[in-house]
Amino acid sequence: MKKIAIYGKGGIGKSTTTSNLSAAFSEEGLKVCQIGCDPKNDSTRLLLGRICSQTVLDMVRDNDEVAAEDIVHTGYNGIKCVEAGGPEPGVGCAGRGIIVALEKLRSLEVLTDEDLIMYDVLGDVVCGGFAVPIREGYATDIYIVSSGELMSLYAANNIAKGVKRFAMRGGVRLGGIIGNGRNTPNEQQLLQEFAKRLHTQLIAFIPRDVIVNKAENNRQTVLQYAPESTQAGVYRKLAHDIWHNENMAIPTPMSFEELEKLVAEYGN
Amino acid sequence: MAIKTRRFYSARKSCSCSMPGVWRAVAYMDGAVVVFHSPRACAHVARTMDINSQYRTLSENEREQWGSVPLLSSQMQEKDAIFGGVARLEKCLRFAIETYKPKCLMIANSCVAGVIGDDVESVAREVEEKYDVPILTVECCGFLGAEYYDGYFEITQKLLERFVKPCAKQKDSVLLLGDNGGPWGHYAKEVTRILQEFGVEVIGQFPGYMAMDELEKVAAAEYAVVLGGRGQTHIGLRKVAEQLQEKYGTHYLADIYPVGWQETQDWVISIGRMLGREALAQQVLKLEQQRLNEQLQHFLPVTEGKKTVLCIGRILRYFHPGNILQTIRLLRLNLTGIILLDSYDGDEREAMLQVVQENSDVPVHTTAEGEELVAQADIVLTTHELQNKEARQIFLPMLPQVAVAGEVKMMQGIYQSLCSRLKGGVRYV
Repeated sequence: MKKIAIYGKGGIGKSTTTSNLSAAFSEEGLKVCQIGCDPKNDSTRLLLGRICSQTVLDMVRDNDEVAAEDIVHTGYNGIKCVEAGGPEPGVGCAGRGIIVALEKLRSLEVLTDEDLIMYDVLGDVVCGGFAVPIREGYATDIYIVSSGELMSLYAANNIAKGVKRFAMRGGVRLGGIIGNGRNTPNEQQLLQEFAKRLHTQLIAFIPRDVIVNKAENNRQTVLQYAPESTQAGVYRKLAHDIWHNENMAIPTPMSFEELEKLVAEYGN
Repeated sequence: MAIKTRRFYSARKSCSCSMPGVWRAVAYMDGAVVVFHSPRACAHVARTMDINSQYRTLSENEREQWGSVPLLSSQMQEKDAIFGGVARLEKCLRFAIETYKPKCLMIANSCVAGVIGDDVESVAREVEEKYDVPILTVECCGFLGAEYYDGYFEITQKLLERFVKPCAKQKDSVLLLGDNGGPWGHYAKEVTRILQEFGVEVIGQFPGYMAMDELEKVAAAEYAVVLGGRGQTHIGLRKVAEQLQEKYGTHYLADIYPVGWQETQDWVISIGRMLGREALAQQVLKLEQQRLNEQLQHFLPVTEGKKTVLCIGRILRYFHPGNILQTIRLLRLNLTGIILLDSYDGDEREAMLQVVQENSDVPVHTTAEGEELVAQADIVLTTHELQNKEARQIFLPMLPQVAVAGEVKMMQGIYQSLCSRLKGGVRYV
């Protein structure tokens, strides 16, 4: 079983990328499960065609006994969809929620016969809870989604610090940077250099395309909405490259000053 | 071979919980109900503290006169740590109000509530408005950035602000400030006895031991006496006394912690000065001297000339050697040496050494030098229990008892130990 976690700055396109990747993997006949680790519950929206209303934590909150069928939903092309869920904005502790949700999933043993599990994790590694997918061995292959914008790279660099910390004591590795284009100057070259400095690779550069927005507005992945489109092909190639990726590294994060200098060099 | 102590003492900053501080400040205030916004197990901290307090009281052949007020826990669970615990807290507050009809609710926050950032203040204000019951909150959360005394003094401050109002002064009345074992404890009883000799009446002990309805009396007191101690307690209580003076013109005495005969004399004179009854203070002193002398006549035939060693390992902030050295002189013990134990860092040792030498010309030794002295001593007075099972030891308490009664008790402990046929062992006074 391959266990992948996708990290990246909030709003950078993690859920869109993860869902399209899940769809592409499922088209290859793989048994895929996507787990959203974000209290907003919107990771699996494009696969389910709706916001998931029965999250793991909703069930845990309301019932002492939780069954697998209460929390595992089936989406596009048979993909299993799970949302960890969490508190309303401004209350409670979402990080603790992620820990409890993943522990519950593990105890229910519902994901034992999958070929691939995709963890879509909220924003930065803001606290210990959001590091759990890496720390506790839930995921082993980490990919970071980033654009060429400074703060997106800054978040990616911080995530790399977290990966490095846990890579030193376990099997977790960074598989690469997934570039999600925002049309900034020299964006692909900058991302390539950034990946190189982190001792990893730019595994794909996904160009900006309006088809992604259209598919999202229709609550679908690009692979479902426009399967013949060029963008769908980009996601399929990325899925193929991830599946066969052997370039798994312990990252070498930069200082913020180095990062600023790098971005300035590429004209941002 | 050097002297070894039974326990290791660290001088690092303490780490305690603010919730039992809140509890202790109001635990016997009739009409109050305390809510711990916490997992259920946190309430055991308060329970353990209460049991220890009862043991202390029983060991004094006393019994607590008052029952403690209800203590509830909101019983936070894992789910509350994720989704927020304010709904559970609100339910707990409503239960407390409907069940106990309190005159005031006090909420203490746990570490969990602090970590997840529960908005306790908003819940408190909503429930207060709905039920018209005052609810006091604190900012401190468990041990997060706070300690026992933060909880104790924060809630004390809230009580002062909310319930104490200006009122007519009650002539010849005194308010005791602080806890120190409660009104049935040795300290409060001794202070009350001496104040009675001055013809003034103790009208309450704040915080903790006045009913919610009686809090107005706090401002009515003409005088306040701080049941002092050392460190944070004393600093905090002194601030309370200063506030009472500033707001309500209450004169206070806070400078002296009357341990030992010399400080007891200074203390009685200071009380006389505060009350404007200096001549009466001299008469009170005479009576106290007489009490002490009567006891000394009983002890001296046994204690005089006995070889004594003093072992000191506490820092100056918690132990001033002057008092016990004076007791040694009064009992005419033969002090053969003073040993500074190895628990000091360089500066602390130097500070203690200086004070010891100011108060005595007896040679000061290290633990390496002191073993022979201890072996030859009839009695060892020590701040740390020694591993030496043959040595007859008196453990010098962290909070020594006060005034003549406290001094007599210490002397009695030494006397009884010397009378005992068993040579080894530790006696706790």
